[in-house]
This record gives sequence, structure tokens and C-alpha cells, in this order.
Amino acid sequence: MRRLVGTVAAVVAAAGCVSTVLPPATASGFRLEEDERSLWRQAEEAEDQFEKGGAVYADADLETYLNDVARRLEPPEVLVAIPFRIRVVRNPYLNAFTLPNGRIYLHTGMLARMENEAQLATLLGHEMTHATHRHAVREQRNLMNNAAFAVGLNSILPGVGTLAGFSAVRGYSREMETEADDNAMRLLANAGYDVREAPKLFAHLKEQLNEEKQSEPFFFGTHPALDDRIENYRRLIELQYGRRPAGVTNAQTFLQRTRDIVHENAILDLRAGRFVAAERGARKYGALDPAAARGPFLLGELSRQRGGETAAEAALTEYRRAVSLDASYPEPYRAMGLVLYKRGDKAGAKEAFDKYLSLVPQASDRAYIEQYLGSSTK
Amino acid sequence: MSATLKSLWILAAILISACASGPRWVPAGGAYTPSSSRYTLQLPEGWKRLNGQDWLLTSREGPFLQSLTVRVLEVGKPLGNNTKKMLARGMLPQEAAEVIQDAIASSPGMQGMKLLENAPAEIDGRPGFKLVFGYKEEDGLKMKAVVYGVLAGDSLYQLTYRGPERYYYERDLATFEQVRATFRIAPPTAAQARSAN
Repeated sequence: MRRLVGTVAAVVAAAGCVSTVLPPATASGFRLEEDERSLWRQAEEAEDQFEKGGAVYADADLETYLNDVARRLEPPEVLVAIPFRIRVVRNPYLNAFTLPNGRIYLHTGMLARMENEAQLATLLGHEMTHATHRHAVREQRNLMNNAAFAVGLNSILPGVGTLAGFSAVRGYSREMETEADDNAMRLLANAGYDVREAPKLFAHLKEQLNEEKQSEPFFFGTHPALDDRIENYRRLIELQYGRRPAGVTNAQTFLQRTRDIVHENAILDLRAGRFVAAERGARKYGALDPAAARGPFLLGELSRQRGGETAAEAALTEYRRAVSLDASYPEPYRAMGLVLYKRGDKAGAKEAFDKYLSLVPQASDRAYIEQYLGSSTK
Repeated sequence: MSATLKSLWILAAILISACASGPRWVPAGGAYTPSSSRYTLQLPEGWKRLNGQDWLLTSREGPFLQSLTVRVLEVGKPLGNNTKKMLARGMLPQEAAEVIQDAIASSPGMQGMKLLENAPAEIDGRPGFKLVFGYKEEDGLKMKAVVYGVLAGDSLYQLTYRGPERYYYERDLATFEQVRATFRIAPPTAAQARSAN
């Protein structure tokens, strides 16, 4: 990243003030400027490092689906100029960001809270605009022209490591974010999506943040950013798009494709002790896949870990529901054993632990279980 | 190194460079008792330590190469900014291990955490837990860490050793285990016992 600052600083020193007005990549004859090329290289390096870190959620089918939605938004020639690729990051916080080279990272926390494909397209359109309208290099030049570029690039934000230096993670200037909203709306409408879903997405996210009473570290998790998006999209509908016939939302397809993300993200929320968000995710997943035992198991874990007077009973109810859906699913037996053991029901605990170990003889926590079983038989 | 430890290290460096009256690196060998008097242990010769009232950070060649830390966490209090989970009285060692594991996994900068071992362990003759895990630094360096924890009264005593997976972790692991074997929890003072009841 320091090299990036050095490279760009050298360009500025040689050229004096650099222009922050650049045609979008969608214009004919698009080619990368020298400092922009350097920015792309740095993005690729940061991306390599980030991908090696293990935070990326690998699901080829989901990635294909997300990339198909992105392709629906822009014509092929744009996709040649900017080779967009959508990736999912295991992170429960609300965030999505785009690197200058067209890599778009969506946090599971963002995807899990969306309701349909039109909302996904809104976010993708917004993020893709940051790349097509060359916001990274424009902001870079703007900062340098204002001699304020020395700060920021090396800042560290939680969970994104080296990528944190990019404005993509911290948000761009208000003007660029508004440009991204305007263009996203155009892309959304041209692709035949229901434009009314655009403000709904951000209103929905805001409502959930309010319910959770949690602070969020990233751009899309802040109230000013969400308020701006809601206002911008509502204004655009009122002024330009209000009379269009309703487009598609593709809610069923979206929810079916992102079902596992909802589950995965609920686990991440639970691990971070974000119980309100975890419960919402677990219930959403349960509704999307009522036959899956892992839905009630997750609700049981939520009750057990949340604690409280009725926690044990509520947890046991969910664990029993889980094993009634899938008797070969081992985790609820272990959890039932723990709850019963703590309650002093040694016979019940032994039965549950025995069942657990019979299903997973090589369980990673076997030593604990054997300890409990030892004391259960005394 | 996790961002949390990095922050601690940077803070320590600032305090030292400013010649502040705060913590400073000093030779560590021999018996050590923190000013809170809540525990004692024997530190290895040739290492240095930096400490606060309850927490202790020791290293042989610097925390980027190996660190041995002790901290005392309180039941019913937040474990930091990264998790809202808390320790509770009466938790089984396995449950306490789960809370600590989740707090570590949720910390910023923790990438690709892979749990290698989660087992019961005795600490000062009390039932506790042992977690061993690998992870990656933000620059991709592979690290390994072992965490021991034990709940006693309203506190969890946590001993952590970490270092780069290649060479350093294995080299000083035995030293850490020797230190752990000397770890003793001090009996609660009358005031602590009263507040616990």
C-alpha cells in the first residue's frame, strides 16, 4: 500500500494537479490511466492476500448466481472493460465493497438480510458503479490534490485487513455515493427489476439495526449512509421512475439461493454474541427450510447460550425438535446432554451423550464427554 | 498476531517510548505475582515481561515471535468489543471454552482460524480447558496458539501462548507448559469472597 502512495505521489509531483474528471469505463475507448493501473495492481495484491486469509465463503453455485445477476445489469462490453467478480465474505456486519478492478465483496451479513433479487441488484448496481465510474482513482486524485492523502491508506478496519485502505471499504465521498445510487437505479430499471425495492432494502437494513441496537463498523452499517441511500432512492423514484410498471423481484429464487448464507450468518452472529440478529437469522432460515434439523438446533443453541431462567427448557424443546427432524444429526444430542448434565439429570445426560458419541465416535470434544459420562455413572 | 495483541503491543511501545510511568519491559525470570495478588507463577529466565494490575505479557525475543499472556476475565462482564457473549457462573469448562473460542474467532484480524484441539485440562488442580488453534496474520503469516482457561469464583484465568507456526511456536511451547504448571490462583481475599456471595 505504501508503494501505491509512492507511485501516485510521483505522478502528482510530475504532473502537478491531476484531473478528477474521468469518463466512465462504459464510454467508448476506455483505457486505464497510469496511476489507475497501479491502483488495480495494488487491488489485485490486496485481493490475493485477502482470499488467502480464509474469510471468503466458497460456494460455486451461489457465486455463479450472484455473477449472473451482475451480468444482467451491465452489457458485455462493460464486463470486458471491468471483469466483475462477486465474492462472499464470512462476516456478520453489514458491508459490501468494490475494488477498483471489479472485485465485489458482499458480507454474509448483508446478503442474509436481503429479501429478494431486486434488492441484491440494487446493491450490486451501486457497487459496480464505483468501479465503472472509476471512483477509486478519482477519489485518490482528489485526496492528493488536497494534499490529504497521507492518511487513510494504511488504516486498519476490523476484519478486512489490507483491503481496509480502499475507500471501497470505508465509503466514498457523498457525491460519489450519490452517483452510485443514480446509476444503480438506471441499471436496475433497464434490467427489468422492481425499482421500488431499492429504498426498501436500505429501510429494511436500518429497521434491523435499530432493533439490534448494535454498532457497526462499516459504511452500510451506519445510519447516515443508510439514510442517504433511502432518501436518494425515494427521490429517484419520485422524480424519474415512479410511473414505470412494476418490475420483477425474483424473491423465491433469491431466497432459495441464499438460504445457506442465512444459516451461516446466523452462526456468525451467534458466535459474536449478537443474539437479536442471530435469532432473526435462525428464524428466517427455519422458515426457508422447515425440514432441516439445523434450524431448530440453532435456535436451541441460541437459548442455551443466551441464558436466563427459561433457557434450558427452551433449548431442550428445540433440540428435541431437531432430532425429530433428523435422528442422525449428532449435535443436538451433545447439546441436550450438556443441558441435562447441568440440571443434574445424569441418566438423561448419559443417554444423550451416548447417542452423540455413537453418531460421532471421533468427536473433537470426546474427552469432555467422557469426563461427563464418567461422573454420570458415579 | 491478532489486532488485539497488536494494539496492546503498540500501546506498550508508546508508553515505553514516552518514558511514562506506565508498564515497561523488565527482565522476567523467577516468581511473579501481579499487583492484584490474584495469582502467582514462575517465569522463565531470559524472558522479559510487561504487566498491568492483572494482565501479564512476557516474551523472549518480542511478541511478534512469541508471547505468553495471562489475563483475568470477570463473569458477567463484556469480554471486549468483538463479542457480546459473557462468561457466567456455573459454566462447565467446555462452555467457558466455547465463549473464549468465539471471542477469539470474532476478533478483528483473526483470519482462517482452525481449531486443532479442544479438551479438558487441569490448571492449578482445577478443571479447565485447553484450546489449540491455527490462524493467519493479516500478512498471511501462519500462527499457532494454545489457550488454557479455568473458572474460579467469578473470574476466568486465561493463559495464552502464541507464535509463528514455523519454528517459534514449537521451540518455546515446552517453556510455556512449564510456566503453566507453576500457575497458582491465590485464595480470594475476604472482600472478594463477600462480593462473590
